[in-house]
Amino acid sequence: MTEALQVDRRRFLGGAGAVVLTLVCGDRGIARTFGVPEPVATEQVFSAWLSIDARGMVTLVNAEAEMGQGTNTAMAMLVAEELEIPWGRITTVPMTARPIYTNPAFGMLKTGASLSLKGRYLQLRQLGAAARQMLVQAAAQEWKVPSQACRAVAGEVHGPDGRSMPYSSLVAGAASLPVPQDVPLKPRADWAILGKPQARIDMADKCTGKARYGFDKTVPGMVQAALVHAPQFGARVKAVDSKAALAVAGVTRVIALDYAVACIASTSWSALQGADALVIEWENPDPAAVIDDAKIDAMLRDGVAGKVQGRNGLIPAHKVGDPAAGFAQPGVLAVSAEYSTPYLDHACMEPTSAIAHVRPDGIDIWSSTQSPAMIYHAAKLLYGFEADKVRVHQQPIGSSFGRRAQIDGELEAMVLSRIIGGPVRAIRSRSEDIQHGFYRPASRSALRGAVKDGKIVAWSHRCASQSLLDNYARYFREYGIDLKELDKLTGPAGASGFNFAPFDLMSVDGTPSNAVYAIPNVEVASAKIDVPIPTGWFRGVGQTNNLFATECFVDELAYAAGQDPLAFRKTLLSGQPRFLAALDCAAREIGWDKKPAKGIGRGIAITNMSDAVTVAIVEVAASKSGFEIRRVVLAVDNGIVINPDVVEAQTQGGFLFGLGAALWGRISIAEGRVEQTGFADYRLLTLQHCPALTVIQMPSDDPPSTISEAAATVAAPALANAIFAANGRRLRDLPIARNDFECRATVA
Amino acid sequence: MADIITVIVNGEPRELRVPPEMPLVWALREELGLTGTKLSCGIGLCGACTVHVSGKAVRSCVTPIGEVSGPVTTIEGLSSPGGLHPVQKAWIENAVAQCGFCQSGFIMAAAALVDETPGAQHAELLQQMTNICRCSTFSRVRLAMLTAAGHGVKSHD
Repeated sequence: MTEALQVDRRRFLGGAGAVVLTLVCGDRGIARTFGVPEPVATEQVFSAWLSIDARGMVTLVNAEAEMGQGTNTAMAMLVAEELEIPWGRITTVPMTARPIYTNPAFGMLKTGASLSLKGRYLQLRQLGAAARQMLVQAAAQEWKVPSQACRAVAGEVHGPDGRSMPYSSLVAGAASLPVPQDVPLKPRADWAILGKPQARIDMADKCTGKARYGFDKTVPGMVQAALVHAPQFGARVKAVDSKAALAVAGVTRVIALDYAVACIASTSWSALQGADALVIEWENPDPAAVIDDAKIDAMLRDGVAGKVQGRNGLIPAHKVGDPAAGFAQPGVLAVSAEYSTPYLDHACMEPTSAIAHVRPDGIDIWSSTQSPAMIYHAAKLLYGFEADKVRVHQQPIGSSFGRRAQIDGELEAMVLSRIIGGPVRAIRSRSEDIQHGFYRPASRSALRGAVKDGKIVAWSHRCASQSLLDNYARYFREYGIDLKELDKLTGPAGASGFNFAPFDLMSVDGTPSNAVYAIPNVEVASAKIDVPIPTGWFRGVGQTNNLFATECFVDELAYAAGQDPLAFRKTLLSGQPRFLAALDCAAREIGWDKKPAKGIGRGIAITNMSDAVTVAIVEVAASKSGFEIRRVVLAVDNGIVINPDVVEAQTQGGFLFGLGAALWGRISIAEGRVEQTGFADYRLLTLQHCPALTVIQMPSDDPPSTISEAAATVAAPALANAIFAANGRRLRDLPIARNDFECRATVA
Repeated sequence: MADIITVIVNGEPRELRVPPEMPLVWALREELGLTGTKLSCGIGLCGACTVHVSGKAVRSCVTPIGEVSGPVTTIEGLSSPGGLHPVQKAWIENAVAQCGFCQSGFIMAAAALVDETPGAQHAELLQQMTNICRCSTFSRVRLAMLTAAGHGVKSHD
């Protein structure tokens, strides 16, 4: 950490109890506070990170959302290693969001983009090391010996002559010491906790029903508000007949917003029943502007064909060498193909909900959010409250994949709370949730490639999709919030993930603009379509679209060149030792060098997302009408590994998440609205289609990097490549199920 | 007005003044504060709301409280004084849960299967597990089912 360390004293008002050493590690560095909160309640410890109680139990405030990716455990491991406490003596609590918790790698307080470990890796180890040194020094003073003669061992300080004191007895002394600066961190070779599989600290709670999520939170006096949104995108509320809704027992009130109606009741079930009974007349958009899949498809085709002029037309995004000359070389074999992907919903298990209490003196929000800072800054723009008057109480998230980076539920809860004048929990039915998501945009990729002497000599990738950002601005305008203002408040320019360039960079992620392959001549161009469908970040973001096209097309070029897809890739990756090692490892594991039986095929896909190395090989048995996934091997180099057990779990889960989407995932649009109504018509993966999956970890010395986002993106191309290898069918349109091609169950 | 409905939940009789058509999941969560049982799809498909009624797995989001005819066990009541249910132990041992939101339902479904069909083959058990997990913890669910079946049935008694 480069910032100066600064001491900050703060006394907490809490129940009587032990003195607690509390360290603060904010944008100004590590500082210390002390007080008596026991047990630590996040509401009390407003700006603290770490405390040690009378029993020697350490509590860490987790400033990263826990949504299954294991931040509770990883963050605690980072601290425990340097603090020298046994694993099991540390627990975490979710934060009440404050600017000091900003993720240094993100530049803002948000969980996402696979940046949790990257941002906290150094910061939390420094925090643990500073606390350890203060405890050692306190013992040395107590014993009147030099601190060099003392050392921290398993939650105690050991001194000369076999003396020892537990941390809990040293906390008071340590709390009065200056905070040490630049304490050397343990070398990796000495790690006892990091880099080794550790049990998740929240596993038992999640297996006994004790774990609480945002959806489980209650606040005294809270009412339930079930929302019904305009089915057609862009429609407005025209008239509401609330008679039947108000007749439902427990329903107290119906509130019409511009684009949605809320049914208020004392219980969730009453509110949802009342919402069902609402008779709403909508003012629909001009029929000529009403979109459907056919219109969207035609727009995407026009986009990649270069038929659109102006701001939505093709914009050059990346260029290497002289692509035109590359294609014009004599003796090249040129290949072209188009790929398409559909809209996808996150379909989180935890339905969207949020609690807000807007008072004259401030706001409290309880929610399962990835974007707490965006919430308090939006509240400032809405109501003029400064950030310290808006307390966002982070709740554990019941899966997110980018969905809860959006703050639609929180905004609705705030608006309703202000109207009602008390705490409100905004909820929605599953069908409302799936019809009003922030979807992974549909896309089309048009590719041209030229091969010569067994190598790719030129590549052209034109892609078209909605911008992730355009509709975002539209969404916030509903609330009178200027997205540019919000962006400025939330972080350094553009840090909140928005950029205001002519196209968003995410729309070309996964094209050869950032692929690892050595291709001498490359051009990438991106076109936008402008339709009123809310879009947003989705596990893997742009790569979920473009990597499918890129990795399948590499295969097409390999076959065109008469080469084995593995050998062909290795030639293109000759300067990439980490990739070559992972490819070789995965190939060995699946037995690539043994020619499979007829009807069996193997497919490869790789990605360098976030500088990690992710290689997947899928093996299928396929006939003309269907296929079965026999095996999946993933070889991953995620840099320095904090918890190998979680790396394995996240790689498995990420890949299977991508696999389910590849097989069946599709949000379809008809008459300007989403057709799907829930999990019955938005098919999701179950155990019966989960293939045997081997994860091989090949950690390196690079900083900790992405795990599941990368694993999610390789599933579709590896599967499509395997199917082609098995039966010669090249599937270029996702989901696979759209090709009259059935994935048979693999469990038996 | 709603009549008083008496249900035995986790071994204790509970009196509820709710309409009989209220789904069991809402009665458990909002009337009794048993939030370990989750709601997700709302149509009895994903299994996140699975509880036991008379020892059988039931999807509580499509089960009206008025139609509950036997004792209800939720995730909070699955373990016995002797310790966790073998399925819970197996889940923890194999570190199955990621976000954990669907896991109560998964564990309740698995526990009913393991208890009802002693000696069942692993594959048979897996065929009957239709719960959805968006974190896609299936690889480890499979391992945990193997462990749970191996633990022996009702060893927690």
